Amino acid sequence: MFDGQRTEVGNALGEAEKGVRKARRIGHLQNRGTEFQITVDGKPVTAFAGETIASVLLADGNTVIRHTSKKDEPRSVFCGIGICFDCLVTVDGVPNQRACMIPARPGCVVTRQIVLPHEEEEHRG
Amino acid sequence: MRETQFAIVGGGPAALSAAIQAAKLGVSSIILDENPQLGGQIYRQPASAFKIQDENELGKHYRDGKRILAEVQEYSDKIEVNNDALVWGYFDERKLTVLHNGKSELLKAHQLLIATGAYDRPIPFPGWTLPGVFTAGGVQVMIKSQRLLPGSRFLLAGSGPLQLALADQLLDAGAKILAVVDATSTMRMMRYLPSLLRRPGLVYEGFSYLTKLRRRGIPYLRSHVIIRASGNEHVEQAVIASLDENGKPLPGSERTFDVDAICLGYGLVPNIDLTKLCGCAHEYNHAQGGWRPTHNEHMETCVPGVFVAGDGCGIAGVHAAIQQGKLAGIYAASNLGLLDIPAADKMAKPIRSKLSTLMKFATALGELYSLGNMIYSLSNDDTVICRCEEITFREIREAIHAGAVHVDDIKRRTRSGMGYCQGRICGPSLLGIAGNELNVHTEAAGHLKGRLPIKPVPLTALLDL
Repeated sequence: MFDGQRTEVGNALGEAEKGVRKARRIGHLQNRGTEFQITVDGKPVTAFAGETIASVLLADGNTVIRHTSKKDEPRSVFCGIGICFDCLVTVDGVPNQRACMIPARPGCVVTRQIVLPHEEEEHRG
Repeated sequence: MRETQFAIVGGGPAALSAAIQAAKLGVSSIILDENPQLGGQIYRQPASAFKIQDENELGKHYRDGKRILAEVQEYSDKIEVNNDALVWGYFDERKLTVLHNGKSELLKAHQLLIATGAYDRPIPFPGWTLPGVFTAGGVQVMIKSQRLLPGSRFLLAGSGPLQLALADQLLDAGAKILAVVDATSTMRMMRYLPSLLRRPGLVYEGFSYLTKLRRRGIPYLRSHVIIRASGNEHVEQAVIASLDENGKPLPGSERTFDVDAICLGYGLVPNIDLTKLCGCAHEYNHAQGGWRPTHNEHMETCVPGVFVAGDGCGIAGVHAAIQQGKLAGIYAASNLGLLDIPAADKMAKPIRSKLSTLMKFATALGELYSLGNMIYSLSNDDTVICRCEEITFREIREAIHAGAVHVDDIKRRTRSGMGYCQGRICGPSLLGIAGNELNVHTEAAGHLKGRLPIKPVPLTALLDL
């Protein structure tokens, strides 16, 4: 199961491997739209106008976009065209939005749907 | 309730061609497209906020798409474009419920075209739900529209020419490709080559992709299939195996690749959510992606005033989609009384003749790359088949052995197909697994019944109606 300990291990490993797993923006950054910040899990993350929330997450190395509710398995973008509903995130408080379909907007608040240890207890409660 | 002469669902080549053709005949239309920009998947344009330095970098489909989008713009007095418009329901007499700008509305269409395209055929295998495993089409869209490369070491697995096109795009974007794996055998490819020469340009394109792979020393492995992906929270390894003549992975032939991205391209499946809801008749056509709505020579389905065009009515590619869209535009105009049938037929004649050649090619290509049901037996007991409800291969087989003979039976017994995606992803697998387990023709297990909303909408969307 996904527990607090594993989160920390994941993050520690993440720094070393993040460079590999970060999606790469093709071409010069100045050819993208205006640069701005969005919030992902409480942290500021760089985005460019025209990018979907999925792109921003993948480019920042957040390849795990959610954990499933039954088996607690990691999921990310799969179909990329709004068909499969695997890349669900909470955007500005509205849960289960397709990250691949929603453009990032300045200041938007994105929460990955990953069950944290204290929430897991409430879940089972 | 808003009304329109001609509602067009979709924003790809079929939809756009139909709108232009209808506009030329004096028809006003509304295009309802779920995406923020028109183009569908093949004509996907870079996000409008991006600056384009070099158009050549974006390829032929970008330029073709740009041209057709400019033509739509020319007829802006006749064609209204609604982007971010999700059609989630259909009611009698061509009434659509559309979620647009956060509000639902009822739209009455005097004529309706459903051109909702297709998506990659999902083939389950152990590890296919891991982050880093993508559909080939999804990665193409990331490259074309988002200018994003979602990995650095790729393995491409599937069947068909689209994955060669993707390999080309990935290489241009600077990715490393470890191998391209195709389930189809060389012998089969050779057998179909003569019928593919109807369109020598496309065959040449295919060979030029292969040459590029060879020059870069990237293995293109035929009669091979991906059997496993593994990794902790992200894909790290892909295991492939060669197939025996029955389409089963050969024990001992496994090879492992260290990867951080896998693209799956097993051909396309028509998106029939809306045609099912309309009550259109469907037939199973193996070479064209499976279940598809049937239509007459006018592209009209058995539901009067409801037309289909493009890959959503059988996989035939972009050029066929354009011709089918034109036909739908002509006959929708005719139904609206703007030209009589003889005049419509006269106008349609050259289009039909082009379409006929394109369809022969598409059928040959579809047969060449069509997969036997064996491809649906790569899972093990714990492999998740229904990604939304997390229903495993074992649960589905148990339901079948407990008496389920129709995919709707499997759905009711297991919840497979009841989740967010409404069975778009697991539907084809349920059919394939049932076909294998029951040893029947795939189509005998039917297709999942269409239910609204075809995609989830907030409850407040109902209050607006």
